[in-house]
Amino acid sequence: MKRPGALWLLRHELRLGLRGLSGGSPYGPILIAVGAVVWTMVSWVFAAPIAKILPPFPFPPSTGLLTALLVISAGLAASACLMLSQAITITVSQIYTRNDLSLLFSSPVKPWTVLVVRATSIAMQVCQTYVLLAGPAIVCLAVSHSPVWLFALVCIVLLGVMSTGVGLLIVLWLFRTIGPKLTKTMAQIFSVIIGASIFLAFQAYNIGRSFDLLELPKRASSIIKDPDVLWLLPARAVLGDGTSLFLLALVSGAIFLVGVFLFSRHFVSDVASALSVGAVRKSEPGRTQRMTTNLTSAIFWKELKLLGRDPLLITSIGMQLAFMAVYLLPLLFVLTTLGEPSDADVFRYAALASGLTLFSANLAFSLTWISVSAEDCPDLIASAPVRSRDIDMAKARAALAPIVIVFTPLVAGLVILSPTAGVCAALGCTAATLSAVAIQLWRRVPARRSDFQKTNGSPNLTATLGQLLVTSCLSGAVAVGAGGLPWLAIPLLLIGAAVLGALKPATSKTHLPRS
Amino acid sequence: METEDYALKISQVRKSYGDKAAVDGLNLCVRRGELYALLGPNGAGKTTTLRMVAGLLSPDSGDISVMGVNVKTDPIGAKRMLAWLPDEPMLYDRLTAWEYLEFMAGLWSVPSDIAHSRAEELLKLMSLWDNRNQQCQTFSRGMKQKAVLAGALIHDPQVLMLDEPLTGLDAPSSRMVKELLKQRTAAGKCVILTTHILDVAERMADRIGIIAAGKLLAEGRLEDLQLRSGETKGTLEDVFLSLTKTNDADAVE
Repeated sequence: MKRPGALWLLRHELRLGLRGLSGGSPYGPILIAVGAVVWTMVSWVFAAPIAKILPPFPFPPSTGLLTALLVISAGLAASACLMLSQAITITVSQIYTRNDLSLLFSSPVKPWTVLVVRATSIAMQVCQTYVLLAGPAIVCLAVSHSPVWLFALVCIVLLGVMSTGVGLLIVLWLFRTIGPKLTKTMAQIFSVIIGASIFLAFQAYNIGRSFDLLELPKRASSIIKDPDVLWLLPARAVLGDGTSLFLLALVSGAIFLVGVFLFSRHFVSDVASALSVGAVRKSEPGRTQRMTTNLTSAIFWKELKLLGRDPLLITSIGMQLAFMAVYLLPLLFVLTTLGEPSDADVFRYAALASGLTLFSANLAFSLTWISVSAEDCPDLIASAPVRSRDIDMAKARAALAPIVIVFTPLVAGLVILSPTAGVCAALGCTAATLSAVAIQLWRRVPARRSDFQKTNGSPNLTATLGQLLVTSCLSGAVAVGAGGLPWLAIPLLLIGAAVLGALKPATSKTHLPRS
Repeated sequence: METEDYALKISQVRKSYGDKAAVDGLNLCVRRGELYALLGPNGAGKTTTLRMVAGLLSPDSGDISVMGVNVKTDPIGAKRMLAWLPDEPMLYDRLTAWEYLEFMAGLWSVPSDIAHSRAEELLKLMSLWDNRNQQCQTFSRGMKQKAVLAGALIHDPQVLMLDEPLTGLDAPSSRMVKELLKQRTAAGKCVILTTHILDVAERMADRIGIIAAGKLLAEGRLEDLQLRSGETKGTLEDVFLSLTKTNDADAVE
């Protein structure tokens, strides 16, 4: 029998990838196809009018060209950062946590083939979102304006390939520097920092500058002195410059190959050491704690211990909040510049109270998902002689405990600085966390803890949107209440309550086992 | 025999998934102090039956009672006397063995002093005492199996149901578990196990039930089954294969 080759293995990877994309549902491919058709139609509606007003290629040297180069470069930079962030996450999961590598290494397939195929698969996963999102619009431009636009599609793929190479190198460096145990956590932190960096950079550039779209060409002319400068190479490739595209392909291919080559040198041994993390550990000497066997405390401590011992989960939650902070910073900046200077403190404290409400609700939403929906042993809990309501209450308490610990001193501090804002924050945090917990309890869908990153701790879209609405209403109510306009809080509170009421199912779900 | 003498009584229980009947009018009684082996080919309805007894699934019709307590009308009361070990260990990887037993004791509301001494006794019996402060994710399959068995026994259940309990165990552990099960039945507790290792059932079980397509095909001691199958000198394996080779076999009334 012929030894299985790279193409055969790649087909296997693609099949797994497609099944993952369709969620394993038999209707998945149909839904994807319908989604693709709808997206293509929407893209064409927007892209077709643009194609009509564009001048023919090549664009003449003008301010318009400079503006286009700047906008495309910014778009490519943002995409590259997000691609790199994704490449790091996927590399860790594909190389160190997918447990099929032991099987592949025990087969006659060469490890080098396995790595090349897996790296290719990572690159394809990195590219797929961008190709799917931008593809229909680019094809529309290629059909209606000029086939040169297809270069843009090639550029996206090349960026994905380059990001994969860099991602492999970063993960390899982490693995070599801090070892297998911490790599998963650190890679995630790196991934989020890189993903957020471009937005932070844009924010840093924009803060203090008035942003006017009409002034963009002027700003482009001041930034770009020479359109042939090296950092505009990818943008020039998008706009149909063959030489730039060739150079981009060369650089991307080289980075990818270097990444794969360096990774391959310790591939088998690194995977082995990653898979054996935690398998061998010395037993701690004979310390035995007294048992506390009250139901509530048993569940409470179990949830806290499981959470505390899962650094990946803690990092995910932390990063989720960090991302939120990134978006809130400009809001805080705007709020503090409103009104008379004497009002600045009032606005600042109102914004803080509102922010605390928002944060506490999101933390509660995530933690309740972990303790309620992501139960590792649902059958065990279901077979215990305890009412599901009691289990839910104990789990909700476990989810709320960290929030009380984190937010009580913050709210107390705010009470000292501004009693009105502090009281509003206390009321807002309490209402927001309780409503987040209630939504999770009502709308739970059994899941695994490892799904947290995939789902962001959300049971489904309805619950996410509902929670977002309720939390927004509450934090808005807190903001206006603390800002001295309490009557404005009433309609917001009424909307929040109505949404919450709509989310409550007729019969509350119980803690049913997964299967 | 009085109803109260039965540790487990399953009467005319049916459970379907869509059009397919997983359990089809099953009648089964297990006495106190009895070790009952429930055998059947894959998909016969063994696990569905055990899940219904454990209160994880509701039967479409019929009644189940544990120590005279109806599972439907008083699920909490029935669960209090029950322990169920599925074939895949239900374990929290990031809890230590000691913490897992503490959690189990909490779920079954075992007083802490009793739980403490019983946990120590069980962990020593399972040769896990030295590993009690290790997180379960570091355990081998056999160690995990022993840890969940210890967890199931922490509340000293009247009825112990085990799905493939010897999977992953080494020879000494396997013998220890068998001895433990015998001791429990000698103490008047009831043990129900499913296994594909027919030798184990043949040597350990007081009575054997053979189930296929959700129906009880035959039950009794080995001799009874031999007579029923016509394999008078055959092993349990011969009897099992003979009884399960036809799907339309008559169910035991």
